[in-house]
Amino acid sequence: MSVLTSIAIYAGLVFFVAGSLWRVVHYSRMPVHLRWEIYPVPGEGAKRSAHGGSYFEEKDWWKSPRVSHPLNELKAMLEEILFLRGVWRLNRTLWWVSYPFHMGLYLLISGCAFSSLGVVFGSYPFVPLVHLAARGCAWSGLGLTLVGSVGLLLRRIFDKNLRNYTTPSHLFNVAGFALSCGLIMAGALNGAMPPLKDAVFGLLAMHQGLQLPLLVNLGLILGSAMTGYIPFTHMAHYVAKYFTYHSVRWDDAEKNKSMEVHIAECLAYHPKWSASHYGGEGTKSWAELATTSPAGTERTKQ
Amino acid sequence: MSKLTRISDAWRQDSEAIASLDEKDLPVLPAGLSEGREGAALPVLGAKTMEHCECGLDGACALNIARPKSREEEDALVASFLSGLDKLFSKENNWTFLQPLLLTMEHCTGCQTCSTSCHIYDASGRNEIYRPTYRTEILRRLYFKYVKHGGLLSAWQHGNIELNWPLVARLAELSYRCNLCRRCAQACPIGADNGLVARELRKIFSQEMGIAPKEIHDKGSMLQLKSGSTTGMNPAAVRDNMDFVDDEMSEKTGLEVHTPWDVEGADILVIHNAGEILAWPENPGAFSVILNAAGIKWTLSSELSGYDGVNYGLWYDDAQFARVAMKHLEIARKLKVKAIVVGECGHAHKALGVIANRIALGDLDIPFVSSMTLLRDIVASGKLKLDPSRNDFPITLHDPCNMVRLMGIVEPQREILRAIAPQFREMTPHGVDNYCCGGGSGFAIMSPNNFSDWRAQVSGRKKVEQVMNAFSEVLDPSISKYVCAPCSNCKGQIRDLFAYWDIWDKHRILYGGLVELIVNAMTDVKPGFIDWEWR
Repeated sequence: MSVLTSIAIYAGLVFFVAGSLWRVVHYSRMPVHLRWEIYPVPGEGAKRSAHGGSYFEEKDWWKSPRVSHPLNELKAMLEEILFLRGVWRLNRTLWWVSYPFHMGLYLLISGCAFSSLGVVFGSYPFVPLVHLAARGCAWSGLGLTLVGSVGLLLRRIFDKNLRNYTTPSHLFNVAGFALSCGLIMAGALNGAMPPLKDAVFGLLAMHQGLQLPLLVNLGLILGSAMTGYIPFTHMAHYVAKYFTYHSVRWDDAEKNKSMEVHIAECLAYHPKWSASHYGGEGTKSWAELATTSPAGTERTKQ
Repeated sequence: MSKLTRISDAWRQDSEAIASLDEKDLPVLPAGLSEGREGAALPVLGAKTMEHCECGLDGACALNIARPKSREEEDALVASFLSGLDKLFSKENNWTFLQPLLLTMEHCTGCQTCSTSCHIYDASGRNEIYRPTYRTEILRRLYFKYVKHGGLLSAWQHGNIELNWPLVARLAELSYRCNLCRRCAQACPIGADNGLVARELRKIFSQEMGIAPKEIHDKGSMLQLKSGSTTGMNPAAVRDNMDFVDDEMSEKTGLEVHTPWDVEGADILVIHNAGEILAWPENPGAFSVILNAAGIKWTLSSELSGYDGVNYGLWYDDAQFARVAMKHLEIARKLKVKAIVVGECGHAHKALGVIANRIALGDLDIPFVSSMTLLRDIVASGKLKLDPSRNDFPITLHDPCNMVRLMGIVEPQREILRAIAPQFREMTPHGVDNYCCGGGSGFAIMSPNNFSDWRAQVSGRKKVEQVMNAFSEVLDPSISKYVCAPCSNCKGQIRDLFAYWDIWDKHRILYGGLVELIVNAMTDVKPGFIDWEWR
């Protein structure tokens, strides 16, 4: 059975990585859009972003080169990623369930990383510490993910504010995480669970002799399926957030040569919107439409 | 509170409103402003409107969409909507906002963090249809079903939807129940942007179906492109009017006021919202006084569209936006100015400073300077002799969303007020966390049917509460108070709000711009520049 579990884990990882990469490529290849930032923009620096200011506040801003502040941006990112700062500030009741869920996932990922490191560096003297960290991360990760996903599930079911915006898949997603963690924990606590390092080694090596409790196998298979499924759902916001923050919300970047080339390509598109004032018969480029006045044309089709 | 409006109510076949607004559900306003009001919060629509127009949303009607006369006509309209929907998600037709739109469509978790930040949702007594996510949820389901051609699995994942004419008509109205202030987007932990969704929906209706509020399109961007200004003023009329303003200002200030026109090679081209010239002439007049006194080499343009900074396309139509923006940039290029300065107009700020930035290539890439920053620099330079005691009355500052949250121009106007207004106090919240005045995205100039009541009761309610709270200890009408709103649209909305809630008569709170306060403090100017009269 553990070989089947190993296959599920590898398949889950392949789908996860491939799906995530597909999303990254999909959004990266989209046309440059018009500026649409929202302040505060941390790249403006600590002093200015404290009150939400921009370079427009500077006297003769265009006469000196713009200075970016990547460290301040990094600080804002870390606060958001590690502490879910936005949810804490504006939706505290959600934070109490969302934070354990997300932190649980971070710890589980860390647990996997530590375990793998332990396997790779098996003979080094620091490895027992790595295994200890792996166990700590795995158990706390499982516990927090379980608590968080059950909390999110209950919120989805009982909060009337979410009723209109909850589809069966929302319930399935959080229930899937809860069930997966619950099975692994129940199996590991009640069955004959080998030491974590042996289990990880056996799973990575697809060792036929590895004996895991049935519930652990089931939990790992379900968890792997969930992992592979994440990139194909709205839960892929770990990818989306990079773009919503860096390419939209915080993007007040100056034009550069490459952007100008990209924009020129977009200006050459031939849009085909049908309203009479638009003039989108497909014969004019976006740039031509932008310099053609429709004054005098009849307005509406309606 | 009325029962929960479901998403599926939006495609209900009847033409009845799916939501209603009742006084008892709306938040109570300070100082007893809303006391004694009961029953329906909006006047009932006229029988003729009800008979001929689509009013199936909330008992208000902003668009006056004519009811289709036959099933065939309905089907054609739905087909037109679908065609627009498809275009909205293609790069050739919508490269301008495709990436942020798709990110929102595909990743919102529906956590509702945005809802509590929305002034319209909150001020409506949390009426479901005004949630930022309500219209987005409809568009998302349409996107996955009709653009991505999702089947049963997609319906399980994203929710089902039935597309019919009542849904399209309700969605059109619903796209005009959002001020596009993007406070919800600022709140979203994922970075999803429900404000953008409202704007993109408006684009389907305008760019594909030819549906938009008359005030914004026919009497707005089209009139501006045709006659030069949304006010209808042609170049000769605007010069006449500004000559008159100069005369008035000269008489009022005791200084000789002269507004320069079409000066080639001037340092800055100033573009006002032309509505100021007619509705609040003391505002462009005060600009002339200040810029002349500071020794700035500046000019206005009398070329078609060059004297009106408004750009209504920003709210509903990319092509109309680009056409007006291009005219402004072209005029600045021809005048060979070093920078463009937009007067006290929030959306005109954002239009030229931010949104047009990426399409301004080559010699059209002319620096944009906010009038707030320029005025701050003038005040800080000491070129004007200012006496703050002339402004010794309670003043609060309204932050126009476009200028503040969406451009990051926050401190300059505050630095000025701290220097010239001893009793300046902030609203709560303020700065980039401000609430919209409720007139954003064109609402301030829209008043068909009972829409102006909706603006006063719902979208502007939060601002009324904020203003009253800012002056809570000085509400006595014997104390004159001033709301500084450095934006024409905001001023128009605040004027309407104060009239609706009788705030001037009851509490003597006046509204106005920032430049009026600066001139009021200038010692070279005759005292009493600000007229404490309702207008």
